[in-house]
Amino acid sequence: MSYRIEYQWACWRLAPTPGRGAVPRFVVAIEGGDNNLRDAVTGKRSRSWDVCMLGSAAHVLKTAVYFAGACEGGSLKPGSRNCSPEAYIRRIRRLIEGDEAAPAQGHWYPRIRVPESHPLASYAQQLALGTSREQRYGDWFVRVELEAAQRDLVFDFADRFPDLQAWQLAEVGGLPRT
Amino acid sequence: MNHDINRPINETGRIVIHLPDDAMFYRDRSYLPVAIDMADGEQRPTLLRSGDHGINYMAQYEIFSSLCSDRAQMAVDQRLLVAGMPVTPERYLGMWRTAIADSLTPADAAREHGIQACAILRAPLAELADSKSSWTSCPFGTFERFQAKFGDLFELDEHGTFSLELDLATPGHARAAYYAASMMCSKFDRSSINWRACIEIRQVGAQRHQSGLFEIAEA
Repeated sequence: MSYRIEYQWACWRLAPTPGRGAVPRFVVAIEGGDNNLRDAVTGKRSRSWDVCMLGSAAHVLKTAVYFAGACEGGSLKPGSRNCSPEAYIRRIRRLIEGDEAAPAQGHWYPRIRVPESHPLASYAQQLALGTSREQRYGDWFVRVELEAAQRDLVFDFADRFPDLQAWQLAEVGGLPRT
Repeated sequence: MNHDINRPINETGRIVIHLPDDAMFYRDRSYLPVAIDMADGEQRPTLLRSGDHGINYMAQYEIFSSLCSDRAQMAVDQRLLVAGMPVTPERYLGMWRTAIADSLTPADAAREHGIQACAILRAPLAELADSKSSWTSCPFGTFERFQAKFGDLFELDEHGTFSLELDLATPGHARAAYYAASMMCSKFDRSSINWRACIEIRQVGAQRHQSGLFEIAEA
């Protein structure tokens, strides 16, 4: 049976501001990949860093609980080991409630890409944000461009459209790979 | 799950019924997880992941998957309370793990807690006449043979629709219900309202068993 392995976790904690709202916001990135997918050159299991959870502590925890549902059946294995859903949720809770500093290397940035029919596409137009169309695997998507000063809008989008996954709103770069 | 989204669910207990090992073809033990919710001053048993078009006995991992998609997430922002108190999702899942470890047979669930699990099957009988099971493990193979065995319990209405109720506490009923429902699922469109195959959880002798439900409420 194939399963997802999570290798590393990184978290940025962002203090409340008028733009972000009254509660701290979090961006949780996870380095992970499938157990049965290997790099053609190195033979090592393929893996990548993705933003997997984004928003308030409650929003992040709810996403963690959803992901944790895959642990019991062995479809999600942190560190390639069996893990209970309870332990997975505790791991993410420690990440956001602990006082660890943000990653020494790397950064997160908004990268918003949603299906054309998603209400965020029309909401972005209402806000007069820059948008562009992009075709991926035959389907049309809308990319929403944010200026540096507008990056906290991703948290508004996460609150307003809870159906969106974190990786539809942000990406990371420069984090060390295992 | 149907509930008033503006009011938190107050879960006061949980009962997990384990089914006989031959109830379906999977190797893992299968369960019916029942949450006991307090609503309007009454304890109400609620089957997790209920539905009208199929009988789903759940493996342990499916129970956790279902909880993590629904109730455990609601615990995060206190839309789900346990005995009126907030609970972390980790602790909440732990409570279900304990309930699974303490799971009961359908007969014990009825006797000890007044919780009866019944399979309800209803469909136009003529349309099922030539149905065959897709599963080699099916104890009857065809609907005709299923009818030969359980036809005495069928109730037929004027439109030729049969209704059958199987108490899962009766030996052989959990298995029969599962395979009969699977034949119905293959035959009918899931969007149709002309047929029904589901598990109903009932409180039997509620007065007599009410104390049983309160005994399992969280302190």
